[in-house]
Amino acid sequence: MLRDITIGQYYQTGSVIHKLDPRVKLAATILYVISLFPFSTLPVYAIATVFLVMAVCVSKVPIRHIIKGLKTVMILVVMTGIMNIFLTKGENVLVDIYGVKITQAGLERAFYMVIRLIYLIIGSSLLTYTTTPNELTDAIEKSLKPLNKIKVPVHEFSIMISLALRFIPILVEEADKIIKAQSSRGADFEEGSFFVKIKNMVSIIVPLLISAIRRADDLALAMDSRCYNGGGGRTKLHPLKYKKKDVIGYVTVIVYFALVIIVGLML
Amino acid sequence: MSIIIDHLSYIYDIGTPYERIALANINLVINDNEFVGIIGHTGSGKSTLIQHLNGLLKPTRGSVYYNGADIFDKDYSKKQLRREVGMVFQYPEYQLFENSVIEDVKFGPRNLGMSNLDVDICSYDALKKVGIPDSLIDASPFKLSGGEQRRVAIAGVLAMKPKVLILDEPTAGLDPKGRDTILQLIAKLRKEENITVILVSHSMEDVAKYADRLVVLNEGMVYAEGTPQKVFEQYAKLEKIGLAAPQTVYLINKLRENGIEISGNVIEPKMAACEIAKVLSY
Amino acid sequence: MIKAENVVYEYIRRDSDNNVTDIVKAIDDVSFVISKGQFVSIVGHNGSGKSTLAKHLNGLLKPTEGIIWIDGIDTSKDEMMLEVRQTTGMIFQNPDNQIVSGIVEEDVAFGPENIGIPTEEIGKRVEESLKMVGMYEYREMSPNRLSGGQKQRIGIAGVLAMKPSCIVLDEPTAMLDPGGRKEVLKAIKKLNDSENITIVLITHNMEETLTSDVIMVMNNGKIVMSGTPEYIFSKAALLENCGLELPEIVKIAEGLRQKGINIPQGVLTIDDLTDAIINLR
Repeated sequence: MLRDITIGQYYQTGSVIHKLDPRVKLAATILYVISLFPFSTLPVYAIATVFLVMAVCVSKVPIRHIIKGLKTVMILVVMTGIMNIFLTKGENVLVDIYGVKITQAGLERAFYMVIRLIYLIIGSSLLTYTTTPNELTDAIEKSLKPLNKIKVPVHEFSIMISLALRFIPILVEEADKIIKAQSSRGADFEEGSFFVKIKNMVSIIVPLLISAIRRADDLALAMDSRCYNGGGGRTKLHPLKYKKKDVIGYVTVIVYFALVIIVGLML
Repeated sequence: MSIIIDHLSYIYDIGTPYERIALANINLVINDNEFVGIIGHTGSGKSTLIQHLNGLLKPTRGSVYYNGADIFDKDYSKKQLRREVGMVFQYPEYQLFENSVIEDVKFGPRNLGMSNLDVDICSYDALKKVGIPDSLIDASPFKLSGGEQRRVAIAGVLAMKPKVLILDEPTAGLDPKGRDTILQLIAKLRKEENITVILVSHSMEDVAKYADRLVVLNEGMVYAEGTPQKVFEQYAKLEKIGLAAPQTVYLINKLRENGIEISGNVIEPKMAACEIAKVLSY
Repeated sequence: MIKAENVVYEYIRRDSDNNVTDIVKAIDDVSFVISKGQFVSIVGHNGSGKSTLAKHLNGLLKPTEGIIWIDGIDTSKDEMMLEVRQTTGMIFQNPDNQIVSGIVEEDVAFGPENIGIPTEEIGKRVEESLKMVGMYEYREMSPNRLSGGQKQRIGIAGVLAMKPSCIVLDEPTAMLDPGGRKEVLKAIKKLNDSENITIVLITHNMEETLTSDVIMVMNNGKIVMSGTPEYIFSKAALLENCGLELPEIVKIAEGLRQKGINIPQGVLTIDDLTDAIINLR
């Protein structure tokens, strides 16, 4: 089950998108997410669909892999859809079962909401499929650098994210191991009274927390011993520099965004 | 009464780009009260194999029979299986979670639904067997030394009164003394409680000393099998897959090459000294 | 290179109410000298103080009493900390917990980045270091896809990229399988031989110490003996008292001696022992 979490895991294919400057991809993702919100009309969503499909194709990340990543959050999507269907008030009532009404507005809203969520997830996971955690944090760090002047610890923030991302797979594997170990000690995570279930959850969470703390301790020592002393005076193996394809990237995204605005406002 | 592993195959992440064959058609019989050592380097399938014996993984193909019954049958009770087949994972001390040593040990027997009295009896008994002194029984497990923590974790499995004890690298990270304590403990349990022991290890020296039979795994297949003597005789074959026989085996071999006839199959230092002494005094 | 003068390290044990219950001397009046290019093993059972001592060698811990000099720098001087840590690099037991980055080459670059080495020079150092440990082909991979031995070699490359003159390894092989163990030992042996880097290897696996220049045996925070492997392994009883054991071949030689067979001291390898036995025939 835990192995199915594919969101956020870098997927190397060597495509053009992988080679883009991470700042371009970050900006593109943010603009794309924003573009999904102001207009709930078919033409705008058609453009968004085309753009997303293009991006997925160019990235060469297999569609199967993307769908697998979606599966884990599908419950959330379905729940949102159902809530929207039943809780939206409107005039054109299509079905009325004992006072629970399904309206046309509700269906429409649910439709756009589900699509929006799915596109949002695919769009943002495409960012992490094509960008290593380090590139991403570099991008965030460099884009947010001006905030340093007002004493926002930008570097600390970015290294925190990058370490978290590095240790997520390790801790997931560890959780899997602990679950197995406690199951072999007869722990049942599905049946039993509420109290027993809580107790069994504790038997996973406590060891996992202790392990995370131990790892953090080790890591702090290792970083210290490699002369880590905060962000000041650091240099980079791969400093971020814009190239020609990054300019093309920016232009493409801006054209897309402009198109969405124009089409959204006109139609 | 035994464990029969019948044409067992297991494939990880089937149907994804990460698909990987972990076990390929394993056939093994493990007899009652036997001490079997499973060796192989990381990724050879050792851990995957033993997780099947405890019902933690479901075979892609093939089956496992415990005392004649298919453990993956719908009607087979997992709880019953876990009562009979105890499993000590690698670095088991990392699973401790209770406030006191005794509470942690009680976790397993309680899950099995034993009566309170039985839970108490089994737990105190298990702690005694692993040599945890009474003074530590109410202490926090996290205040103990690494070696002690490991023994508490093993007690947590023993308290479930298993008839088969599977241990995955039980001596990893311990110093020589800690290692010997654990291995002697296992050997004693096997003798006194008549349990079957399956020991997964990297250490040839450990298995040479204690196991009746070795199973060498490589790339998910049984690569060699037999008594330690028989397996270590084929040290050239072992080296091909990055394993090696204990140093003693190499010494005896070298002596033989130099015309010194050491009799018998010698795989550990004590016996080697005896045999060499015999040759020298004649 | 490294000089320890009457080093004491105390830590305070507290009970659950935060009252001091105990003051433990993890290191108790230890003095030694390690010279440039030496391969030194520090052995002792778990809790003997060897890891605590290791952490003193690059300033992660500071002595309560006494002084440690690294290339003439007193490690208790905070302003010299970065010098000290560049001079002696440190490798820890758990390979996962010392890798900072999700990509091999970026992890190796972490140290040089921290001390502000120019970009071009970092690239060069990363390449050199990875080649030295034989991991250059893996530079773009995620450490999660590597074996324990490979991860440990990445750790070593990360230290090498700081151009240290000494590497301290705290039980680097404890979590590895025999293959990984061999890889790592081979890598550090090579650095010692061809780059003349001083190696301090902390371990309780005696087979690993056979080729060192000096072995120091620790027990209860003290160095109880120190000398060549030949000398150390001739003291079987003392080693056993320290919770350690002899390497297998030495064990056989010792067993033969106990049976009254005259095997000379200093026999460490299969070849040595074979020769000794042939001579007795």
